Amino acid sequence: MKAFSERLMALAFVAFCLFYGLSATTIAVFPGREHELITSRSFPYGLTIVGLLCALYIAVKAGADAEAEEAGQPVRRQLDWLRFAALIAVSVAYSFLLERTGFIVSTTLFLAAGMLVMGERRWVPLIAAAVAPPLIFWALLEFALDIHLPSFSWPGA
Amino acid sequence: MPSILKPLFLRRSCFCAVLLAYVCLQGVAAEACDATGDTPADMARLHFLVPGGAGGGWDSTARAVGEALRRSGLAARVSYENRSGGGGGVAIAHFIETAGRQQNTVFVGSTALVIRSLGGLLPQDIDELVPIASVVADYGALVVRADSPLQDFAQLSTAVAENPRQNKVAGGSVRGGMDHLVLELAMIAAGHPAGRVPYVAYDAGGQALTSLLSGETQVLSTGVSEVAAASDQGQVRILAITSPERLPELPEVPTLLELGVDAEFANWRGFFGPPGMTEDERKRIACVIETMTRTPEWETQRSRLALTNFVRRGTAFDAFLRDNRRQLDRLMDSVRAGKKAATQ
Amino acid sequence: MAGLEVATRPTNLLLVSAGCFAGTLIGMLPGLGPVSAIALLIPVTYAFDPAGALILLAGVYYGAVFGGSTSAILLNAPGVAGTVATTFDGFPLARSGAAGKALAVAAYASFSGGTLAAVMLLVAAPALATVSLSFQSPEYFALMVLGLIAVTAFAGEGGFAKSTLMAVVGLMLATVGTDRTDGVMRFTFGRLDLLDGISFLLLAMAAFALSEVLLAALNGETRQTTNKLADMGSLKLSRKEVQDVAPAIGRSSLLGFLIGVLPGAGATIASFMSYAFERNLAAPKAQKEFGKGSLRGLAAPESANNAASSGSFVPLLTLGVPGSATTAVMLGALISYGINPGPSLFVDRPDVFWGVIVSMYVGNVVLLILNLPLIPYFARILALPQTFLVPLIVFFCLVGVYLVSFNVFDLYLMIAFGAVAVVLRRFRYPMAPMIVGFTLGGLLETNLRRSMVLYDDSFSFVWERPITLLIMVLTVLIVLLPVLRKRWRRAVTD
Repeated sequence: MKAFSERLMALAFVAFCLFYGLSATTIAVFPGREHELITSRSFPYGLTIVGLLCALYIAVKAGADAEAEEAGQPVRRQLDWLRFAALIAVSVAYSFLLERTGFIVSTTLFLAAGMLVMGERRWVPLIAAAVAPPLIFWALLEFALDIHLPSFSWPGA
Repeated sequence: MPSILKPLFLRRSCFCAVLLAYVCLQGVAAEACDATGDTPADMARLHFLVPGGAGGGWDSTARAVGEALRRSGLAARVSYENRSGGGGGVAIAHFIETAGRQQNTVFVGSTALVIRSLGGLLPQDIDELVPIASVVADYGALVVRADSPLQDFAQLSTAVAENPRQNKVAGGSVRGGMDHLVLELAMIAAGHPAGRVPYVAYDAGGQALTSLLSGETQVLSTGVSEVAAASDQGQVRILAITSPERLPELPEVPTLLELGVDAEFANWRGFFGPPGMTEDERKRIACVIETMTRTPEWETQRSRLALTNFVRRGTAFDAFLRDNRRQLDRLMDSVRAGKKAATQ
Repeated sequence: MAGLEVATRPTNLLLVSAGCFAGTLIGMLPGLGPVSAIALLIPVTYAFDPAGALILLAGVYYGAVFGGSTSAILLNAPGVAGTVATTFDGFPLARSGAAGKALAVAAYASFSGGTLAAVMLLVAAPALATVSLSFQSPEYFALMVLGLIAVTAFAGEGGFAKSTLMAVVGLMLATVGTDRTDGVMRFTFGRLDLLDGISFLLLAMAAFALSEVLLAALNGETRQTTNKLADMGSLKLSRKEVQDVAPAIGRSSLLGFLIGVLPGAGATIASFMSYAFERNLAAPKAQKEFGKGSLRGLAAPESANNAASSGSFVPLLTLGVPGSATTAVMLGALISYGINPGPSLFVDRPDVFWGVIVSMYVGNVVLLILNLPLIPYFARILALPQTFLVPLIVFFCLVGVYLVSFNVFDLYLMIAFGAVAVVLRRFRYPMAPMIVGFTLGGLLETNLRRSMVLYDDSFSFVWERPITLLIMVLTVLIVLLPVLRKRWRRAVTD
């Protein structure tokens, strides 16, 4: 199983390198400099080749290594993909809301949601920890450093 | 004698009276700023949108103007917003998008943004914004190290004709960027085909200057403000500058014009309003800015920037921008055409 | 000496302290780097005389570098490129319960690095000026290659192939954006937000701090999990530890200073190089510790980056040439004070010249005095249960990146990278080579292309220039070193 996933990962890299290399062909070259040895495309092309070589090597060798290793593997603990996904979702939601509902509101919501995702169930500390940091941060930036964070602006966005 | 580059640059003079008179004449010809009714101190708040990071060219100009406005009492409160990215494109996009909400906000613009607009590097062209006024300009300079065998521009020109690849020119912008264009402007006007001189790009003027000093390159194309200090120190020799007249702080440096090379270029910096800005609003802010440029507080700020006054507003600014744009467009075309020619 | 007199004037002492304190706070918040901090403070400094103003700014600079180290060690969040190498061993140390010791070592190493550099500056500044100019594009190219190979050549976890692949990925990510030579767009897919490329902070936060906390969520670490970091251990170093670390500090300070003197190479490459150098130099037993919590591995980049920060003042003060973004801003500040740095600064304004140098030393002392007592408090942050810490760190990363560009796209990008980084880490692909490749990639390519233009489209600069050749040979040696070592050991034991 491990060998398979290692190989899969390496193949993912191969796909990535191919994608990169293909995109590199669309790079414009400064007019008149096409004849030069090294152009804006050279480096990307070079990297594509090296990347492909490495990825293919890993696909072959590391896969074999993993097979050998697999013999003495202890039982792996369960991974909490749900929590992981939830945390990411909450972060994305925060980014979405940041410029719409403003810094203080979105940060408070995010911290509260984040803490809930991580398993916090005590309400009082949760609310305190969700409200205090954004306020402190906002005050520090707005007044001490004259840096403006977004405020509520959904209708206009 | 018709030249493709009309001299439209304001004469910089030490005498405020002359400046004032000239500006007033301009004002009379265009729209006048009321000397009486329009008390600029009713500018309660002015917000600057800077398309670059703190410490950069746009930023230092904006802050200098803001400081002068504040200290002279012309504006009660000034604030700044740095929104860098995309070479200014991000800020322009943001400004246009949020135009409805931008009361009393001005955008800091310069030649660099016009160049990028023309080059298609910005999704929105800077000419979608409403020009308010320009305040300063930096002129281009062609520089060599103090111990260089090239004593003047004529010698450089001869060297380019005889052995083009020998003298490499460093510049603080990418190929096709401002420093490169200034070089090409000078060379083309001096009679050389475009793209003849090898241009070596650096990230910024400071790096390009280092390259010159270390001997990596032989010539430098950059703004006067970036080399004025080095010139004073005797580290470099400025061969020529692209201003219409000699600059007071560099009395011994000839202009390209007086050397018979028909090339003038000003890297101006000015302010723009959001699309949809009313004519009254535009005039009001322009007048405040113009009044500021006559204050002693501005003089302090300006000399700190080591830049030259270049104050235009209203229809005069609009006209200047049109010509500036045309000049740059033609120049950029020649550079591209020249590059192709050089490889054939 | 005039400098000492200037530096110890009460107002200037106050300024340096204020600068260091403010700088540390600012440095701990990613997104507010020393460059912005200095630029924002310049108007404040107009109230003081030029020497005092510069002293304040220098204090901010050092403080920021130190602050960056703190968040690098405690949170695996390198705010400044020069502190990435600090995370390699600093964070593992913190994880294993020795946060206090790690912060202390970092403080001492930074102090030593900065002080040694100040001494070297005092002694050799004018002489070094000419040296700094002899490094041109080909040399920088070679130096970048050396730096890249040096850090990557040593297999971290996962093996040599994975290291190299990650380095390549880093280099690939560095090509996104506007080409620095020709101005053409690469891999931007029509997105305006990518025109300037991917920001360093974004990638560093995603690859290190963010992936770390996401991994914690994935592994099910909730408030039930006792936080090892809470036990931060003693701040004291045993005699043996001091003996172990001291020579590394000495070597790294020298290396860091010399690299810092070169305009265009700064704290970043100095820290990577010294880390790789020390790892190379260590005996095999000690070498294995690198990356897992080696004190040497922490001390080396810490002294190097401070030494390099001091070193970068050499070209500024002696030639008026800015060696980095920070010194470029300082140059602007100097000019606006009416001072023209250059060869004559030494003669015309010795008070400024020497004042700055001596204040560096003073600043280092102040930093140490200010920060050592505060370390226990900083380390307490980690005593928070994971339920609080994880969201806070994510917030920290997101806001930090937002403050750099005010662009929400960057946040989405960072989250995406963070998620990918978690997957990569589970498959034991190391992040370090990637970030090194990313940081050095742009400079590497730019200098290569510039060298080609300067040498009329040929590679002759590699063999025509002695320094370049030397560095390239060194690079090849480093690649071959493990092989050579094995051969040698085999020969010895036979």
